[in-house]
Amino acid sequence: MTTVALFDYVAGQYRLIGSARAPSTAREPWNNALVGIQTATATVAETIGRPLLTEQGKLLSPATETGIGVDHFASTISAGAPLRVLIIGLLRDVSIASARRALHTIYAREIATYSLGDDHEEEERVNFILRERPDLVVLTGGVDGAATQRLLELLHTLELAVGLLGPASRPEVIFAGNRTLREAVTSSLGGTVPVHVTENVRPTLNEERLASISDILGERHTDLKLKSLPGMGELRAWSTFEPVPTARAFADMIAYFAALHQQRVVALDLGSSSATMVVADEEQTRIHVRTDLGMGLPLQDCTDDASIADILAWSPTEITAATLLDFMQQRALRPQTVASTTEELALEQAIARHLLRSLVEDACKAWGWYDQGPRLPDFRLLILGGNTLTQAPRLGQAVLVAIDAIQANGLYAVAADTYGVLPLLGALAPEEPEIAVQILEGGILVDLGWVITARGRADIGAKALHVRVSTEAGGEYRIDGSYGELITVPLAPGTPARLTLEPNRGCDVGFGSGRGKTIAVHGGAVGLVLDLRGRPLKLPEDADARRELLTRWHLDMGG
Amino acid sequence: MIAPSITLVKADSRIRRERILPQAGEVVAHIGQQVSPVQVVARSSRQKEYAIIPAARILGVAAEEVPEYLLVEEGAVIQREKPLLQKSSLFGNTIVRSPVNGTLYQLSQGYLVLQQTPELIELRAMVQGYVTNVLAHRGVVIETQGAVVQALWGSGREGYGTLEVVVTAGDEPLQRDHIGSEARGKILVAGQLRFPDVLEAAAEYGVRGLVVGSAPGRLLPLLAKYHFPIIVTDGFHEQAMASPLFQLLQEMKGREASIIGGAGKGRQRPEIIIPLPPAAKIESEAADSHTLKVGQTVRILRAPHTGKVGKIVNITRHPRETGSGLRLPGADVRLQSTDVVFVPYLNLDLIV
Repeated sequence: MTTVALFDYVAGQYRLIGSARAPSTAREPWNNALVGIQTATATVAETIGRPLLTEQGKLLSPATETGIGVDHFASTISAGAPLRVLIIGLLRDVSIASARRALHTIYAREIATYSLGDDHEEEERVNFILRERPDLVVLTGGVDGAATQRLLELLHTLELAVGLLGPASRPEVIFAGNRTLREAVTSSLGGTVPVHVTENVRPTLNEERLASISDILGERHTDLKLKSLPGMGELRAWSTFEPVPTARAFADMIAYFAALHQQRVVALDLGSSSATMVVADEEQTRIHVRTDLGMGLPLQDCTDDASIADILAWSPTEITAATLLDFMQQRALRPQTVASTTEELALEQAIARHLLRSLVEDACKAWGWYDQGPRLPDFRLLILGGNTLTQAPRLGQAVLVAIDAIQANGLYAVAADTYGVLPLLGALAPEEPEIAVQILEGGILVDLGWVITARGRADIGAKALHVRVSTEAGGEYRIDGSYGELITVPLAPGTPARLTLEPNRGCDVGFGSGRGKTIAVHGGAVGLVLDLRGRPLKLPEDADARRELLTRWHLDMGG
Repeated sequence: MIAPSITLVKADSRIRRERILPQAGEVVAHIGQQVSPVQVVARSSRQKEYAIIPAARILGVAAEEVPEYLLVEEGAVIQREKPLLQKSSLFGNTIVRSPVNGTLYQLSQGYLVLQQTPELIELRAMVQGYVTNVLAHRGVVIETQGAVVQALWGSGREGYGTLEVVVTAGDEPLQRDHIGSEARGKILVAGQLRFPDVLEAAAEYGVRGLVVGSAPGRLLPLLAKYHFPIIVTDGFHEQAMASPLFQLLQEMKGREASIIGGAGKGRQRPEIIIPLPPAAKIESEAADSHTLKVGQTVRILRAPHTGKVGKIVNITRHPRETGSGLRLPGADVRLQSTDVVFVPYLNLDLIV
């Protein structure tokens, strides 16, 4: 989907005035990304009663004193094919793992990895490159100053392959390995293909440097993929600032929230053609983008038996694998469509759980937070993006999908980027930071509430937790939660409250077994969620019992 | 301004289609030339895989010493089993033979690179019409007049043949007994593809293509394996072919038709093109506008009315609640049953 938002200076500060969505139009039958932008812009103009486009559909800019048109236009792009990348390196667990982490910061698809110890013959590697014609090759390996012979062997394979490709089909190459080899790489490949030399991703075994390669990957993605998107010429003519990839802009805003709250923030963005997870704290922002996970075209390739079984396990309605496959193929080719029945909505949310769970697992593996399952470090805010989550008919559904997918411990607030404007502010922020900050401070996210999870080793039904909720208005109520329960407690949006958590012996709500605490929270559209179902979530083997339980959880969250 | 999904279903239209080689080559048609579906308009050669021989390693010599043992020159045409390298030593005679037919493309750092004889690619017009433009080294633009029906999914193959509608209703599945010797050279049209056994029969009797309203999603990888094109117009779950498409294809029964497009993701949309004699009134192929209007014919893309066709009787700017609880702007659509249903515009496919 394409989102257009209008920000303006009102009553002493910049605010969001209006936003609208329209189907993205970069593909057939329109083949022009601008059509979707014009559609959404026209909707914004109509909603707020302010002309933004000429009759021919051109942007009215700059703004007049009477409020017609706009002064600046910023955009982010997530459409278009991902960059197809081949990784060549020495060790899978060292340099290749680092290169892969960098690759997951952009819209890319790893088409293969060649390492020293793999089973591929020289001929096979060369022919693969000739056949698949990657857009980009990331060559890495070796700590700085180490022996070079092995990497030179891999370099030779690459040199041989690119020399055999026609000039128009040759990939660009990023070299991010042993700095001793920089000259050798540029002299052997530089006359044939563009070579981008960057910092070694593993200058020593214990050190990882991804900033430099991530920047170059971002640039190459923009140049090789975004600039050739149909309609981009006109879009750039509209733009005051260069269009930026949505995932990067989204991550910049998550980093802003982490800095603002001085706490770790996790974000999940499930789009049509990709899924993004961001974890930001005051020191670091981690981005993990998967272009093979999305609610649109990627569903065509999500048809392996394990994925189908997992989605079926999350479906509260009885459905066969064949019907699910039909649904996913249809959804892939008609990504703009929306669920108009409760059955299809439940099915989409089952798919969303599977995709987000795959994203979280993969990201946690890449970041070293995996031990028989994802082990996310404590965080205090979870931000949700993407239409499937933020446009759910009832926001309790979005929270349930997210907590089922992330299965984190502890307690955290949840908020949704309901208007889809976080990436847009991310694009604006580097150029106009004050405007972006003012808009963010004006409250751009929709607060959904707080999630409190507890774990312990007791039977289902045993008392787990006692919670005392005290509001500033003087209200006070108590909740007793038992293992296995999912409880929602209404707490109106913006209402400050103090929660006194008193876990039973053996129950851990994030402060240690049996340890309680009083914390300050605020209400949200969903309220307080006590998730006492345990981790990892265990779904009954029996299909009827499983569907009954899923339906109960759905109802527990407000239906 | 609402930009819905659009499907072309036109009886008389001016149709322009690019025919493009997968890689640069030679265009052999010229502007103004009349072409038939079978006519080659451009050709190129596709490189088969290279054979790479680690000569230095096999001979146990340094890379720069390999030329001393080479029996053929770079660029020489070679046959399979032809000796390429020979090294004699105290321990015997080492001979390296060519594993393929082709040429010795290059000797690089101790490796012999053998280029196998390339495969000729011929790009056919596939549509009867006139060449209106030549795209240097890549292909041509062909213009024709006639009917066009766009589909949802294609197996990636292209073809042409005589259009034959083998069922009487758009929801009727293709059966094994629809396919016999009379099906040779035909593009068969049916409401649904449910039974995989019809595919083998179609292959056996020389069917040139299949056009169906729906097919099971699980069969798509299988459909892509057949050498004749298969296209799905509407969906993947026992869905009938939408009536405007079925009616138009019925009207075109017996005419020569082409199936093009549908190769892979994001490529040209699969479609059936049926060239017709020049008509007095030719419609523009392009949709008049991207905006939904009252009176337009639409197909509904999602449950509970998936695949149904109707006319827009009212467009609502203000969101209304759907069965899923989502509140969305949309349109009231009068179905052929005369019922009027509200459909979010995101779930409408404009048939033009």
